[in-house]
Amino acid sequence: MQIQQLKLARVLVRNRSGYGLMSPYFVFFLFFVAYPLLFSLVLVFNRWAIVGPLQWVGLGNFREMLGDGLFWKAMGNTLLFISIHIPLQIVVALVLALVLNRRLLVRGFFRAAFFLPVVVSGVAVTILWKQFYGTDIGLFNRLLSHIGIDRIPWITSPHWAMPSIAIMATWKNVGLYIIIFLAGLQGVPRTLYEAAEIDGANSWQKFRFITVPAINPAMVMVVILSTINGFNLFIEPYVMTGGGPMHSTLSGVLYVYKQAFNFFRMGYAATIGFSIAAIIMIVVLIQRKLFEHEDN
Amino acid sequence: MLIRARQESDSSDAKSAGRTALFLMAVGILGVMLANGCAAEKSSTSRVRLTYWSSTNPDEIRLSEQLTQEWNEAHPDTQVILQPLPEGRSGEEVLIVASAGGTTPDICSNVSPTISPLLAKANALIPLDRFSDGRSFIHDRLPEGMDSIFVNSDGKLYQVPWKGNPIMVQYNLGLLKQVGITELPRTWSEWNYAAARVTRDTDGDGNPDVWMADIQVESEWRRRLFDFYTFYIAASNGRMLLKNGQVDFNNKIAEAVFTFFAKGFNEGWYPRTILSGDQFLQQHFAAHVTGPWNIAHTERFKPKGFEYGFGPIPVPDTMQASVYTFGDPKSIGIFSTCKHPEAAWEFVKYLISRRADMLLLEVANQLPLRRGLLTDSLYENYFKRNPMMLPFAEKVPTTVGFDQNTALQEVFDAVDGAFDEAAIHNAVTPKVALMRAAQRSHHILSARGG
Repeated sequence: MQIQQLKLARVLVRNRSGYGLMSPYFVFFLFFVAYPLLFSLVLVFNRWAIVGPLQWVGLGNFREMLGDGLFWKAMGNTLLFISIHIPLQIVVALVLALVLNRRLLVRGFFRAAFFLPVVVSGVAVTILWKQFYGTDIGLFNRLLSHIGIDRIPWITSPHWAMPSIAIMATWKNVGLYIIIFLAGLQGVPRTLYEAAEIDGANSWQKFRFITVPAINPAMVMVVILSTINGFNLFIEPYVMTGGGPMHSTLSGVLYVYKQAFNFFRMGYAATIGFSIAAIIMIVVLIQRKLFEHEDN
Repeated sequence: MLIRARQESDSSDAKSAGRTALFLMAVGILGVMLANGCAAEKSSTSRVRLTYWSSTNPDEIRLSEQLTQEWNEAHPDTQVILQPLPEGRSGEEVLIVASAGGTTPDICSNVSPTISPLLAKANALIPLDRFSDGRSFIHDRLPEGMDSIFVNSDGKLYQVPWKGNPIMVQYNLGLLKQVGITELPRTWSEWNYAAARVTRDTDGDGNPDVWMADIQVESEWRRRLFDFYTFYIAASNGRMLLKNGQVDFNNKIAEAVFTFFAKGFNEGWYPRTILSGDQFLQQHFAAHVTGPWNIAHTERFKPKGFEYGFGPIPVPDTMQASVYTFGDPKSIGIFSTCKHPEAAWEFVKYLISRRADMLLLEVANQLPLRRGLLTDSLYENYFKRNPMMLPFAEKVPTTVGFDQNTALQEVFDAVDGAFDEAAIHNAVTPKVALMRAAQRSHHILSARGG
């Protein structure tokens, strides 16, 4: 026992500079990640309105969540968003990455231009798009009216609101996924395409049988990242619609926010938060099973 | 060898000098801390210090600065330190978080009656009942019968009702005149008559660009304060959402108010669009439901030749005129973190004194919840100089605030959802929407109300 303690002490002394350098982040992690995480886990089994003492409710928050129609509505909305956003994101990002992978004039400019929305503040972008989406005085409907198309209630109709948010979110994030696809495309050996050309493969066949399998790791990365981002949908509905109309853009995370900071129901909000995290984990595991191939 | 020895000696000297510097620095910091500590202790024994958070509204900051400075000059033993409410999404959120962290001020003059029940439940506020003249002072100040609506469900009074902003309708008189309307609407029929004429396409693109009113379609419970809630209070002669802690809005009057707004949305008199900027001042709307604060804003930003006036909240045709309206009240609270409650109470009494209320009118253009506001000679000149404020001041005694219930915001959220479904989007009938909202509210109140 003493020998083990001595060994531990020796390891600590030998690596003291390493531990010293690590300690500021460790302290940060302890106070701002580990402690809130553990505390929110405690909240899951309690009722707490920020002020006043914790009140033990056991699994009461879970029971309430399962019977809460708005929670299921929020989860349904989130799934709808993901089912529009991920395919749209992949197609747009892949097409643009294929174009930007070619030898284009001012290619650097286009790459930077597509990446720009990623680094711009989400709130600022959402406020801008809110103006564009205005039914009566918005830019998009003004443009549509010039070509004889009737006004679209982009964010004021329960049917249009979530697809509109998905379009905006795709525009905002596509730059990041273009970069990931570009990295994947640049890793495909040229010789594979040359060999395929000698064998008489056309462009589609080269894309289908060389490019797609070769960029599979990038594809998995894009699917997983956009799934996680999709489940975390918050800024867009928070700024643009407040979760309406008729709760059609109420996302899971927005519902957590409303419960926590509008109604001060911290325990219930923590329960929904942990449930969303569990759902994300399960979905990502399924995605990895489906998309990841061992040969990659 | 010699060089190495010298290097070691230099290094040792440097280390020693470094240690000395560190030691001196530590002693210095300790000395400064001790000196400050002693000074603070000294000041805390000789005089009382109170922290006071005001609203972040620039006019109110100016008012609070003036009042605090005057108080501090007159009371050298009780010094007040003013700070506008720290930044946050809402004042409610800031106060709740501060209460949890034990960092509340001694006094805050921006306590919404919607959160005072929650703060009271958590013992974050001091009840005025603990001061010998607490209840009587408030009773004497408030217009007749108004003090009961601020009393908490435990029978105690935790807030000092300070000011109210009666909600009325601001009209663009020019737009009304253009369609031949010279009398402001008093009833729903008169309103609808005006709406049908005012709403029109002026630029010839086939779509209306002038509407009757800017009823907000965003999903947020506070939006309902300026449409459903205000019109419901007017139509029901001052009823609120709850009665004895139970749902009281699932009735024919609320149904009629929903139907009234649904008709307007269906006819296109209110656009189903999310608006930005002041579209009322840009003359896209003939009416705007608002409070007296909008007078100063209108005067500052109105376009040339813009004519406006204020009218009462329209009521059902069966009623003569509206008597009640929503008052958007704000209160002052003394927090239980306060170490000198008696001194804080004295300062609060000063904040709601006759002279301070005069400054509230003059500097912030807001109305104190005060008995005899229109008969007191002190305020006479102000209302002569500001005739636009007069109809608002007349409404003060008949304003209605909020139910004192910890789950009120959730109940409002349920009503907001119902209004969204039935009035704005016409997806279900008002009766069904209200029934669902009532069921949800009943569940909320039985689980968490109080």
